[in-house]
Formats: sequence, structure tokens, C-alpha cells
Amino acid sequence: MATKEHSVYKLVPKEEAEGFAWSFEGPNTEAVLYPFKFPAIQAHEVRIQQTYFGLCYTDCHLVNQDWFPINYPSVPGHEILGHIVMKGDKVTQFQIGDLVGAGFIRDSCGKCKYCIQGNDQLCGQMGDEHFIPLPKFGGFATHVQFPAKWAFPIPNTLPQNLTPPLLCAGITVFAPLKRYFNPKKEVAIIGIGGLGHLAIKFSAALGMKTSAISTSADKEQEAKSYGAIDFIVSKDPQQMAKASGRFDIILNCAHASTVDEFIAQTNLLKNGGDFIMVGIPAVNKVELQLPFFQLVCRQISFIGSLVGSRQENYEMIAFANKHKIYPTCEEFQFENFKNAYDTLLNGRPKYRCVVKVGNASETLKQ
Amino acid sequence: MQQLPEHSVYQVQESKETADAVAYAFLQNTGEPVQYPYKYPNIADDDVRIRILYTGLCHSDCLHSRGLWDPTIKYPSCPGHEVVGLVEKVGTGVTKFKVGDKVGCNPQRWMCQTCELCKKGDNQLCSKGIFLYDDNNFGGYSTHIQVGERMVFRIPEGFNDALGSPLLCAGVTVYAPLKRYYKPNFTCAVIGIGGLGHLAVQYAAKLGMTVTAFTTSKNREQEIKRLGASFLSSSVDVESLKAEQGKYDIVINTLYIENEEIFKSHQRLTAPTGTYILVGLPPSKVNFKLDHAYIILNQIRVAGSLIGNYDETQEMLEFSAQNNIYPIVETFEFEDFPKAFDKMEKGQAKFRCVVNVGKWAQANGLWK
Repeated sequence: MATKEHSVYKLVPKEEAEGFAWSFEGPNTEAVLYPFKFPAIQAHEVRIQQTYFGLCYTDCHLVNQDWFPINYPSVPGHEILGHIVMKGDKVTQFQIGDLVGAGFIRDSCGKCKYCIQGNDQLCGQMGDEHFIPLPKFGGFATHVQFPAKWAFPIPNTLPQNLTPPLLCAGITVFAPLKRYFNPKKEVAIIGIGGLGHLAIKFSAALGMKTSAISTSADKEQEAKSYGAIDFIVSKDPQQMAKASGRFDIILNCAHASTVDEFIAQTNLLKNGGDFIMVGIPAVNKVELQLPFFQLVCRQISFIGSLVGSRQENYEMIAFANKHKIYPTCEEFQFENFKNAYDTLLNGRPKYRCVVKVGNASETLKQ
Repeated sequence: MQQLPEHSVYQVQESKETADAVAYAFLQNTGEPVQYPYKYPNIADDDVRIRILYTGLCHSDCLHSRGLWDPTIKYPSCPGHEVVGLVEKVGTGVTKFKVGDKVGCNPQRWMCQTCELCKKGDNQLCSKGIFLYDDNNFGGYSTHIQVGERMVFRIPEGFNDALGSPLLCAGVTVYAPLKRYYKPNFTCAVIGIGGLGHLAVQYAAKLGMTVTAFTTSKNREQEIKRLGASFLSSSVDVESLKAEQGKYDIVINTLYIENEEIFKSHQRLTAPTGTYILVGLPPSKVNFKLDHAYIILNQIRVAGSLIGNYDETQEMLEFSAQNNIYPIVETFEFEDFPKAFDKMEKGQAKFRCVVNVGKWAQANGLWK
């Protein structure tokens, strides 16, 4: 049971709880159950009762302070799916009972250059209100409350138990693939994991010739079932040499663990090609180093991408729905959240962990 | 006079009287270049032989000829890849140029025109492309140069020959990526106000961007502002670089930076969704570190750029002539080639060294 109280969410006896969260009271600790009351809902906010939520490794990085120090208690989680049970006075786009999802972004100002251009995920004006997983409570809870602006309507044809990872992993790979899309491009997806397996599906469905690069030779059938036309084992120097300079786009969904591995990945890029980076590893892990010569003389680009804008999210949801693109998930019960988190942190889930909330908010009151 | 060594392509001559041309060639990786009279092999069908008027000196000439990039370089080596001249002779198949045309040469000697990259227009990335002094060909440190017509550029009307030769490398190296990634309302940071940087400032300003020059030379503020910079800031002071974080939609880095902290601060000048362009080449095959967290969180593009393609180079020549954009040069006589090289090698050029080749060549009977 939680002992550390958050400044915004009142820690209450379970019978009085409006929601139950899984809270981390320090880095590298086990989550504890936190029955809480919300602050009064604001005019522009919605409160969601979740049906399912997803876990993403970024949540582990945040909790364990891999990137920067955080305040505790911390309830991260940013793959949110549920029904609206309460809404503020100014929320007109949703009704009570609507099924919505949310991802990494909590709020944006709507007025700055980046918001107006359509890159509202990059809004720098929101301070502590920018991201969902912190410092306010995020998705590791039965209920979440956040601005309606960043809630996305979810069609009822999407299977709910598989939808939450689309809202982070899905958008993370879909947005740059669409941004740099060209029907003639050859795309390589590095890493067939949580991000990578969705990236192959999206890229192939977008009509680009997509190859999968993996350390595991035994994932070939699987990659091809997702739409990959070719499969390259990155540990095989011959296969890698044969694919040298082949790809217009490389979407990197797996971190290189050595500089040599990183350089080997970049060798697959055509001159003038784009190497897209989406995953942020722990800060002091591998430094991404590249010879100046390679970068300049081959005229290659390294491009970052951060989830996606609201517009890109709407498009991704519609696209996934139309093409039936769903992640492969391992499912856990809300009461067994610790198993889900541990599987993510220390195991190798295939490929995303999803928690079924069910009627936990009722049963936990007893 | 010492016996000059043989060359695999050109026939060395005892004196300029029998020579087609006289180069300034390096005989080993140290010391000064020396005069090297030579004859060409027969002119190929698509070759153009050019009487050089002016040659610009580029720092990569040092890195090449001193064997810093490739220690197995063969000597005699004649570098130089910023050439303005007049067509002297054409091969039987040449259609684009005739004798007397004013032309230029850039660092690339040949493009295949059939590979995917050539067809896309990026011939500088041609998989079979060769550079001006690859395969031990002679470059622009000479009274003449002979190159296939496909890599020869037309010098536009009104072009200032005496000032313009460095544009063939330095000019296009900054013009091409600025043009590729800019939008007219962008804020632009130019890091390093040297040979490349002082041209980048001029182009960026002319393209309509607000330019901040990042430099260690605060004492040249007036001069740099006259070139088109609106503001100056330090390129090496980490605190002041931090204060500029995230402000520039387009950043062009002309320097090779060894210090990791400074290099990271440079990447962080880039605004969200902006582009950080690297054009400077280091003395050897060293690595640099991508600030990947910043790049991902801000959706930045870190882009390398190599000279420019044929069209970008031709466009740059015309843009420069129309807008009077030229480097600030120090001009040397042909016989002072070693002095010019030395000044450039020591990093003392303000901003580029140019050799007036044509004057000596004509006076010494090399225009036959």
C-alpha cells in the first residue's frame, strides 16, 4: 500500500477512492497500490475509466531516473484507453460514455509556432503539463484525468485489448513513416520488438518496400507475415554487406549496443538517405558516434521523431483501423500489475504488455 | 635543376617550352610544391582542356596532399578544385562548349549519369563518381586542367573571375544545403566565419533569413555584419551557446569541433523541427557524437552535405553573379603558389587564397 502522498492526488482509504493507481515511491522499487481522489475536474478536462492500458519502456526510464531526476510518488503510464465518465463544462466534442485513448502528450498551448504549424507534440509552453506520465498521474491507474484536447476517439472496430500500445508505440513509428513516405522508397526497420513489429506492418501497409533487420534469424517468418519483403540478420556480416547502401529510410526501433553496431546499421543507408531515430536509450549507455566523413561525404541525415501531433494520431488510428494493424500483446490483470511491469523491465515481452482493468476499481474497494 | 619524377598519367617535361602545362605539384607529403611542366595524354573525345585564369585554394587540398586522408597517396600530386578558366581545346565529341568559352571546374571530375543517384540529380553522390584529383589526376594548381565536359560549368555573364574561383567549392558547399533546407522566414546560425562561413552568411542573408554568426572573432564584428549577419555570438563559450539553445531553424556548421561539450551545444542551437547541417571535414577519420536525446525530443534533422550537384553548382554561380556574392580573397602570383599554400595551410587566409594563374601562363608562353 502507498505511504507517500502526491501533492495533487489525495491518498484516501480504499472505500473512498475515485481511482486506484500503481505508484512508485522511488527508483528501482516495486509499485504500490495508491487509492486516490482527483482534484476538481477542470473545464477543459475529461476523466476516463480505463478498460485497458499499456506499458512502455519509457515509463521504466522515467521511474528509474535514467534520464533526469523526478519527484516521487510517480504514476507513469501513457497508453490509455477507456470511457469518459466525467467531463468539464467546456468539453463539447465528447459525451459521457465515449471511448477514447491517449498517449504521451497531456497538453499543448495551441498558440505557439509549433502548435500552429501542426507539431503540437513539440509545444514547449506547457511546462509540467506537457507530458501525461509525469509529474501528474498517468495511465497506470483505473482512472485518468487530462485535457480533452489530447483524447482521441477510438472506433469500436478496434479490439480494445490490443489498442493501447497503438497510442504510443504505434504513433511513434507511424508518424515518421508517413512524414518521410514516398511510394518508391525502400525502408528498413531495425529491431522486431514492440516498436519494430508495428513499424513493419505500417510501412508495408503504406505501400513501401519494407525489409526487417534483426539479430534473431528465427524471426524471418514472422517479419514476412507482417509484410516484410526481405529479412536481414544483423549479426551476419555477409548479409549486411550485401545490403550495404540499399535503403532510402532506416527506422531504428532497437538501440545499437556498441558503436560498431551503430556504424554497421548506418552502412545500410543509401547515400542521401534518412536514418530515423525514435527510441531514447538511457543517457550514459551507447553514444551514437559516427565518422564525420560518413555523414558529410555520403550526405546522410539523422532525424529524430517524437510520438506524433494530434493530427498524426487521428490518421494513425484511422489507418490502423482500416488495415487491421494491431500489436501482439501479453495481457495481465490490474491486480497483477507488478507482473506486467516486471515482465517489461526484466523480461522480453512479446511484444507489449497490456493490463486489463475490468472492474478492479469496484473489487479493490472491498 | 633537380630531375623531376615521372607521373603515371602525364609526361613530365624538362622545361615549359615543350610542355602543354605547368603544375605546382607535391613530390612528397612534406615541403613545398614545385613547378612541374608536363604534357597531357591525347585529349579524350569528351574532354575539355582549360586555360586556368584563377585557382582557389581550399583546406582540403592540404588534407589530401599531405596524405592526411589517404596515406597511400601517390606523388607527384597536384591538388586544387576551384577553377575558373577559358576553353583551349575540345575533344571531337564535345558539344556543350567551344574554344574560348569561360568555364569553371569544381571538385568532381566525373559522374556516371546512369546510376540511381545521378538520375535523381545527386551526381556528387554518384556511386562511380571520381573527384578531381582521384586516380592521381592533376587538379587546379596548374596552368591548365583537362576534364570531361559533363563536369564543366558555364561561368555566367558578369561573373567576377578574379574573386569567384573559390565559389566552385566553398560557395556551393554552403549554398546547396542552405537552399535545400531553408525557408524564407527562418532564423539561421552560421558556425565558424572562415572561408565557408563568410560565404554562408552572405547567401543566408540574401535568401532572406535572419543570420547570427557564431565566431571567435568578435573584433571582426563590423565586417561580418556588412556581409549580412544581424547578430554575432561566441562559437566556443558554452554558457553563451546555452543561452541560444533552440533558437535556430537552420544551423550550418562549417567547423570541425573536437570538444564534445561545444559540439553538443552547437547541435542544441537547433530549434524544434529544425535542421543542423554539417559540411566541414576533419583532418582524419574521426567520430562525432550525436546528441540523440535532443535530436529525438525536438525532431531535429542532422544532415551531412557534400559540395552540391551539377544543377545546384550552376545555380549557385548564377545566384552569386546576380547578387554580387563573392569571397574575400587574397590574390597571389603563380610563382607564389607555395606561399599561398603555406598561408592557407597555417589557417591564416582571410578568407580564401586565390592564385592569378592566367597572367603568368600567358606571359610565359603556355597559351599555345
